[in-house]
Amino acid sequence: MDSLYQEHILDHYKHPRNKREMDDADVVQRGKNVSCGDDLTWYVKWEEKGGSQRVADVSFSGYGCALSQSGASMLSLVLKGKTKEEVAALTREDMLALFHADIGHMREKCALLPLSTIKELLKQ
Amino acid sequence: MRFSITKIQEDFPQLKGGSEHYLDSQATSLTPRSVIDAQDAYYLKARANTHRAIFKEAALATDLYEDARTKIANFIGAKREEVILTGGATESSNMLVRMLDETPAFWGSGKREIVTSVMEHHASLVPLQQLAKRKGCMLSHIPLSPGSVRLDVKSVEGLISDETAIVSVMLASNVTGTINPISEIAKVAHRHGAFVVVDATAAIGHIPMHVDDLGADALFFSGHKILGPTGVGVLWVRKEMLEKLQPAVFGGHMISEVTKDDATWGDIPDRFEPGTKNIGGVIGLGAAVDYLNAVGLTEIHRHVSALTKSAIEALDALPGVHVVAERDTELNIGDVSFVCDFAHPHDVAEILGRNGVAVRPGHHCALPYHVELGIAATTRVSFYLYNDEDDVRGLVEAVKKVRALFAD
Repeated sequence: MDSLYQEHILDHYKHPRNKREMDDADVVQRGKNVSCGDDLTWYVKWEEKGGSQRVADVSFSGYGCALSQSGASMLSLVLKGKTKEEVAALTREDMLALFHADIGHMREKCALLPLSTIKELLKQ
Repeated sequence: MRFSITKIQEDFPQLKGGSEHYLDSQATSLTPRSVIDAQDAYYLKARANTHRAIFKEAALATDLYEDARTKIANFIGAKREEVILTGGATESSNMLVRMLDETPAFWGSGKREIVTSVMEHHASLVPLQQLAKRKGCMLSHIPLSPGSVRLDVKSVEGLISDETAIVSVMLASNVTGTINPISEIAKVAHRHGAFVVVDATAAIGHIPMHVDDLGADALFFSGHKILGPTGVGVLWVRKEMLEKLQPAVFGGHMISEVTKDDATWGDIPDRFEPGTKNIGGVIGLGAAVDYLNAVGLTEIHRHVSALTKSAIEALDALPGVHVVAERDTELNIGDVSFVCDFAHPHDVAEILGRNGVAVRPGHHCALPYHVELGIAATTRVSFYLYNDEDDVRGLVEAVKKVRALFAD
């Protein structure tokens, strides 16, 4: 019925991957969309590998709409094993592509919250 | 005129072709043909600037503009020279705060407290916060009655004192629809010599309203929520006070005399209407007032209350849906907000929208109220005169679809 709410998005929303708080994370970053009440926190553990820092483990916690939460779940799978530089290089288009759907202007902020929050985390 | 829903619906062109169920009138109302025609008439036949010019279109434009002011004044029980035409409620609110700020006599008594409520829209609250900072005032808020969407009016006695300069409370909430007992609050405020400001934006056009009955000293609202065009608003200030207030915006038309170094101000309300206003919009708002008067505000409220009651009952009956609204529908202007256990308000609104039900998710520019109610966001349904029971049915069917989609 609704192309935005496809099976894989609903699956990630109802059964999120890597959704847990991480006690021993190296960095923690919270991001919010105040206007709609989306609230997301990333936890990342880094490791030295091949001369660069890579994501050894990543998880998230929070609550919000299906786009922000399924987006975080999908992005967490992308992030694992990536170097800091590779995470920094992720674009808006990369994030939106995960949804395989046309995200309208009104919902873009929801869909991009996981990416904007992980970019904030890199600044720490 | 007898209240005929069929006839009313025919008057609103966007009901054909827009969302099948338009339930977002608290954000902005639809526009009847008569308002569109009145605005068109200005652009087609009377396009000239108002005041001073004496050719025939200019005279017509001025007459239409000033007639609209009179209609608006009568609509709220005010004198025409007390009605300042602005760009909207937000502009009115900010302008009023600046006018008070710039008038030394207002602060001469040394009063340094402002009382508002936790229910307010940001358009009223944020300018007051800024004023409080500039003036070194204490800002306090009428709380909610525990476990209720209503203000705790009993607390007013303790909050308002002889130190209170301004009491600013909205006539009705744009989230839960609750109509506040402004006249009771105003009585306490006036006993302490405070200036009473009423944000009537959500309530106007939904219930009969008279500035004297409310006990207001100033009141403001937007035109676009009462069938008028966007970009028009009203600021009303009681004449005795308005004559004492300093203008906050300066320019042409508002002056009496200008020298190289100084200026004196014109009469009220011109003093507060610098520059060229939204002439077509004001004329359209005049036509909107005519339309509402012809239908009758009492009849509109009765019709909307019945729909509000139906919607609350229907949503209450759905498992996992929690209504956040004034349940005494006589005291509700027609807003029913709700939250769902099974989906976030944004997803609810998105799916409702895709099913032809136009609603709004979020905090509705009333963040502190949501915090007090313990919720981050709601989905809001708002009814107006052109809605009917079919809209309630459409709403309920669409919410059931959301539940089906998100159910495990």
